[in-house]
Amino acid sequence: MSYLTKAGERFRLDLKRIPKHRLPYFEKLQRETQPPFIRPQLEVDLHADGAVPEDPKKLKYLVGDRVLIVKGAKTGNVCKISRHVEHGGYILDENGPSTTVVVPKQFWTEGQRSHVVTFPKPVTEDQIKLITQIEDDVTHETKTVAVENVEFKGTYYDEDYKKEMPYRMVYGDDDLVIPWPRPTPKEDGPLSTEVNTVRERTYFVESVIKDDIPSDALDSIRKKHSKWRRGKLTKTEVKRLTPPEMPLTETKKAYLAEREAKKQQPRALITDEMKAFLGKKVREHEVKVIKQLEELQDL
Amino acid sequence: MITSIQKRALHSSAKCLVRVKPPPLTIRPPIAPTVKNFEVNDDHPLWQFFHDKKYLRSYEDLDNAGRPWTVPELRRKSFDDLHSLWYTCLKERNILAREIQVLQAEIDQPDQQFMAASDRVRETMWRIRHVLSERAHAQQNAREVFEQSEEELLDDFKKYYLDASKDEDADVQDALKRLQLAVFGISEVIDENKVDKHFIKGIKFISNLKLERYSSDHEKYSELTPITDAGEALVIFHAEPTAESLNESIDAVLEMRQNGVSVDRYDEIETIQAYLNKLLEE
Amino acid sequence: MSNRFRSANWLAKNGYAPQVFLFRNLESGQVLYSQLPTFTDYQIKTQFQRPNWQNKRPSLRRDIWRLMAVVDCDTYEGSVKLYENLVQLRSMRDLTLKDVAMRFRPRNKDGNIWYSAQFRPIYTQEAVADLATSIENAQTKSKIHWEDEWRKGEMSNWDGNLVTHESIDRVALQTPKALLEELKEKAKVEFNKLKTVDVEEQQQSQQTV
Repeated sequence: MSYLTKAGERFRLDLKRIPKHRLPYFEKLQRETQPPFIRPQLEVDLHADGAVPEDPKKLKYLVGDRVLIVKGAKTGNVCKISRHVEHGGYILDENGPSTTVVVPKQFWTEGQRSHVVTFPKPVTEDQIKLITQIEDDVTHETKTVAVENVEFKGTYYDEDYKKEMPYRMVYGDDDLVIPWPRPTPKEDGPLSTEVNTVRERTYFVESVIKDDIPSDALDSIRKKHSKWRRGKLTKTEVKRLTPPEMPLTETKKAYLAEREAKKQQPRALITDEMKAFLGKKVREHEVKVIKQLEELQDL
Repeated sequence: MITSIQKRALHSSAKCLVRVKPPPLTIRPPIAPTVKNFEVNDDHPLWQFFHDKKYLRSYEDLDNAGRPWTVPELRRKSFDDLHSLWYTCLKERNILAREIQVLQAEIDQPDQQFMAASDRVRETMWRIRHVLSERAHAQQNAREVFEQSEEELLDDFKKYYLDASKDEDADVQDALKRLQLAVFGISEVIDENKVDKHFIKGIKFISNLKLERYSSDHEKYSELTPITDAGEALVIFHAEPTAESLNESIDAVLEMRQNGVSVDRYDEIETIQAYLNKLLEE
Repeated sequence: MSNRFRSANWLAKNGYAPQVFLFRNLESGQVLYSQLPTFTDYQIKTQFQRPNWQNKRPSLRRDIWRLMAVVDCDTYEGSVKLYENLVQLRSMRDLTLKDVAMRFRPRNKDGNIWYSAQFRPIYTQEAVADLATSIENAQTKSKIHWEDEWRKGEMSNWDGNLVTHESIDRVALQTPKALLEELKEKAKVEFNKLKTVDVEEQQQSQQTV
């Protein structure tokens, strides 16, 4: 049941982590192993994240936008965007470019009669230009134009998309805002929860002493014996973190033992007699030194 | 005499006894086993692994429109809500896992759409755990901070409580209720309470506070205070916040002292718990 | 004891009930019919007359044979007739009408009969069909005790006037010897009850005459 857990996910082959010099091998592998009807129509950069982005700024044109084809076989056709595909592709409606491939029988869909199937071919961003309607300054008539490029500034909350959307405007002309196409309304799924139920607040902090979470539940929320908890070290870690003991020679060991034994002995008491004797000796030495110094000065 | 044939003709069971010519002995198509022979209860526990008692859902029946709960949304929900949401998700994931397993037999790999649906549910589930652990850490931290500033907070409250005028009585009582729950964990509902050191500390603090506000002119006030006995504290704690009611409770406490009734400091938790249990039974 | 064909008289005299036993092989799915609650090489020899690579002669290993069904008949003659029919139908499937039998076997879209190693579920399904045919041909009222109700298939395949179905207790199946003994005793009691009823009816009819 490996698909139920994500534990091994990071060990899977991830082309994004493969060094660049090994990429041609995988590209060749894909070219050779994928039959034409599965092979992606766009040029695929294996290192890039090909997933369809959610950010409208990155998508640039959304489903429902009218665009003009400016490159390729169907140049000049006006189409609507019907779908986004991986690696930055747009699938257009029936006026857009298409490709014909041969599909083996086991992959036939219902109602299919022929091996030869026509698929819509995805186009990239540089192959299309957005079409919008603007009012002419002089004649005040609305006319349909293709926009060279668009830019995004500011945001607003869009009721239909139910999220913050940037304003899309003609590049270099902030007054010409091109509204986003209206999305097809989505119906609630069987697992959807009503908005009011979601927004209703049921958790209130009322006490420092009483917890919202029963104490028995805590262990199943966070692993009690997780090794990532602070202050938990495994046996191997302790071993690794402890410095090894220095190997000592027999002589050194004997010396250390002797020193230890000496330390244990009580300190000798110095009597007044001893002190007087020591003082006398020091005095004698000092006198001798002073004498020597005087002799030196005389010289 | 009746002949045997006549006898047979008159007999009621004549029809049953008619000799039936058996069908010839020859092979027929094999009889395949069928699940129709089983009767399954509607409340069979394994039905929980099926959506609407369906063997396999179509792609249209899956929830494709939904999105996982976000962390800010889950932060607003109580533990009970999150707990039930967790089990709703778990059940759905079980159903999906079963369906993926069924499909895997045909296509040799987990079905992408079912996997995506399962992953969406999984997303909600790890977020629930995240929110709860976040909450647990927050509570732990709050408790540590509170231990240092408890004295200061209680002093502030004491000042507010004693300085408030008579018109503000209702507000003051509300504030006291909030405080006893927040600081000492004492709930208004008796059966929600569990007697512990915080509870004992709370009733002592509140009884002293009440006495000081309402009965400081009582002749025996200075003799009585401060209240250190848990039994006495409970009597005053239960009294209504009015001068008469508190004076009555003072009399009761004095009577207790005369009779030598007191709660030992070492058994006060058990004694008060036993008293509360008795109250609940009544 | 089940090393040769047993007549109705012999069964009655030796304390057996009017029963027929069906055992299935766990490895191959083949089914063995027996007049007695045991089986020997005799049954295997008579019922698997032309073995081949996909219908091998099964071994006598007791651990791979499981009880599939027990049929209680109303008379000893009926049970013997039922057994004879079953054996005859088996030889038809294997020998005389083999091409018809092969045509009946359902096939997948590649034209193959489903199997996994030596296991072919079709054998048990054919045995169930043969049991239904045999009972109708023998015209004996019978009660079938099934190991698994699942196996009896659609009820339209069975003659409602002749056959009643019952399922064996799942726990009792774990001790087959005790189970068979219990079923035998029950069948004998049932048979004796039917006999006395018949005798009384006969006496009554004689009195009326």
